[in-house]
Amino acid sequence: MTVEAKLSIAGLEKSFVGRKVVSVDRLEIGRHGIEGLIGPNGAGKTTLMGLITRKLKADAGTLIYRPGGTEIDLRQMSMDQVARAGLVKTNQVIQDFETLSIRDSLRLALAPAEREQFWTVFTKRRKRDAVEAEIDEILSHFPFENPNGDARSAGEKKLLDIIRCLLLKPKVLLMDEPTAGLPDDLTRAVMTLVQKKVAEEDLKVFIIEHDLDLIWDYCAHVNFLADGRLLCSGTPQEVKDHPVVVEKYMGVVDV
Amino acid sequence: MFEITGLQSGYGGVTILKDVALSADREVYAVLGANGAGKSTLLKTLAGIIRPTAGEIRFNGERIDRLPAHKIAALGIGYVPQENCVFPDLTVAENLSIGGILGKRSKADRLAELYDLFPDLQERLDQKAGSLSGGEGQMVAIGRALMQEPSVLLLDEPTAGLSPRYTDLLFRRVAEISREKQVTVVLAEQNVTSTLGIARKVHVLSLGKTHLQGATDEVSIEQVRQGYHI
Amino acid sequence: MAYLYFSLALVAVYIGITLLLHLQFGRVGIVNFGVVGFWGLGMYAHGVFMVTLGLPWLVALLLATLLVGLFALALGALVLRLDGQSVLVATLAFATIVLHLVTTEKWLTGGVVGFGTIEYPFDFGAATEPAYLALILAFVAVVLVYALRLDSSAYGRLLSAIRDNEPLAHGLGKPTFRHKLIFFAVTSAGMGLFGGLSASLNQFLTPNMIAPGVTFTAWIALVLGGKDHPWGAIIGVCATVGLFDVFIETFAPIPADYALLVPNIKLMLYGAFLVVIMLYRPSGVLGGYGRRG
Repeated sequence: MTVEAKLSIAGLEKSFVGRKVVSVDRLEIGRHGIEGLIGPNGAGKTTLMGLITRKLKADAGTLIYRPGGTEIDLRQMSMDQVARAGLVKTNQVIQDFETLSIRDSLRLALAPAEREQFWTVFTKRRKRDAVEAEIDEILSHFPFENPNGDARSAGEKKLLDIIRCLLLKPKVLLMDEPTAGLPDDLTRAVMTLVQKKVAEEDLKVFIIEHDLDLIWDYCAHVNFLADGRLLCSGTPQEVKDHPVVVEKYMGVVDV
Repeated sequence: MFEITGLQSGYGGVTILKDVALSADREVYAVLGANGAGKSTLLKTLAGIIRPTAGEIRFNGERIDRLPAHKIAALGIGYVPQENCVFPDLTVAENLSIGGILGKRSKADRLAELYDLFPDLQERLDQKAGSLSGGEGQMVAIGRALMQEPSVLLLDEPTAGLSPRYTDLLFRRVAEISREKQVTVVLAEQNVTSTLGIARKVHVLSLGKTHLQGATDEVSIEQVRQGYHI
Repeated sequence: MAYLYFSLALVAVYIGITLLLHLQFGRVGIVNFGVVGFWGLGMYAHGVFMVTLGLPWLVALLLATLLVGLFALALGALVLRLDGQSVLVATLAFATIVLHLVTTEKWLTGGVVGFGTIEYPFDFGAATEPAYLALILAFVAVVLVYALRLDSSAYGRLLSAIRDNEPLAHGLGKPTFRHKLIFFAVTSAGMGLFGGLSASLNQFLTPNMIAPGVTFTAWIALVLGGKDHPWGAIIGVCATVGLFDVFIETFAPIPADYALLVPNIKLMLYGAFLVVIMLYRPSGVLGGYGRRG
């Protein structure tokens, strides 16, 4: 293991009304291309993701992010700064901008901050062919009913959410249940594109998923979380064969 | 007699349950599956909280899948959700009384019967339900559902977050209720071993579809495990 | 004739603040119920800067605008993270505080006795009033052009995104709170600017001018015309302030005995208008947003 982790978590803790929801001693993300995070209901998976993206403030612990050569202490950053630094999360529940078309929604993701200022409304507009070409390219991978119109079905909205995140060119992409609400063929299309991006670009992916088959098929490394603690991690086979995993998932001790 | 055929259901345009069929009659019918398998969606659909997009639900031969939730409850189908299942600012006694609005026999008779079943509750009648522990809260929620003298009880992961002691106690009570009152219990659970101990039939869901179903004594744990994909 | 110009200037001022309210509420979803607070603060500040401190008209106007902007910045920093209801109450409270301070701080504002005289910035004889109307209209035009250009700009898209789903925009790396705060401060300062412009128009200021009615009139006009369109603000103001305060007061032959009834009838009709609009066109005369193409 010579590859340096993109994200190092140590002693991370979070409680809600006295109940410790997350208590992770050590977790390194980004040594493998696509990594998984699994665990039973209430294991603290979504809370852990929220702590990483700074949506939630941790009670204790450190979060170190290494996008390039530099080390960034995420605890000093706000959620939007974290996203701009290349640490981006897709949403579990379908999220959408009601009045933005598919294309506008993607333009929003690609717009640089300096063009989104109060006074830039009066400045001249440049044609942004590069942006449109990039949008066309990514849309070509997916069968939107009307790519120039609105995302209508739940599946299209979910897909749009993931594409928006990919357009931000993240270094680490966190995916919270990418397949929930997405038809099987689209799930495969998303995962194929993610695999391609991981192979071609400097991108690492960390997935929460209930569809365990997807985890076994696509992840090189799997982390198992239960009761807020990281109980085991390893290759898909190692995790599958770990007795604790079966016990926590099914309440069965011997199989 | 509770019968479901070709059931399809979900939220906000997302289909979660696909083509689920089952029938249960005066027995504990266990619905197992990993998280995200669709257990809660199934129970909510049966209780009328979500309307199915296809399929039929019959109760004693009558179709109930188009009825609103309160009419389904009035037919004697009690539903205990996984979370927020007690009124936290009401006392235990008040919580139970609310359940007693429906039902034919006198309230006092039914309450007396309930205390036989859950002796712990009697000591806490004046306590606010919000201050109870998780296990006690579940007892109150089930008790409230029993006050309406249901012939079907839909329980959504009643042992989630409970200590092993309470899990054990709760399962014994559930088995007792089903046996003595001839109540059909549809029990959604993650906990496989204890559930198989009290259920006559088992139904394993996997990503919204039926992975396997059958009599408990004919199903092996290995088969169930495949439905969990681990 | 001078009175007609005054009334038209009043309509222009209302169009200005209602356009700014459209920007705040229609574009970003900020529920500002303290319009009159920002407007009134600008008006009194302009008066005090000019009369008490003897500053030139333009310097006083710019300082008044800046002052209102700073107040909006402070208020926004406190409340814009909260939900719509809290923003509504906080802005309403702000306007109430301004009204009370103006009434009680007699040494500065003259209290209920009033404060003046605030002269026009220029004297063109008979042409002074029309020229001043043109000046106000020029400021209105700037706001209108801004509001129209917003529609096809990257910034406008960002504001729509914040209104539609702020957490989602935040997660995409947009500093949504900072954007909201700046937008709120600048547009509220704009309300202060129109307040400053109104000072010379009124010449003599009294606290009853900054009663909550100004806020409600702007809101009624906006809801009536359609909150999602710049033209909605204009149509709404013309159909309310324009119809009653200009057309009926100037041209309708109302017998003197009934003249006192007009303001009451106006309020009743506003109410009736609103009920009809809510029933048949809840997004206003011009309708709601379609998706942007």
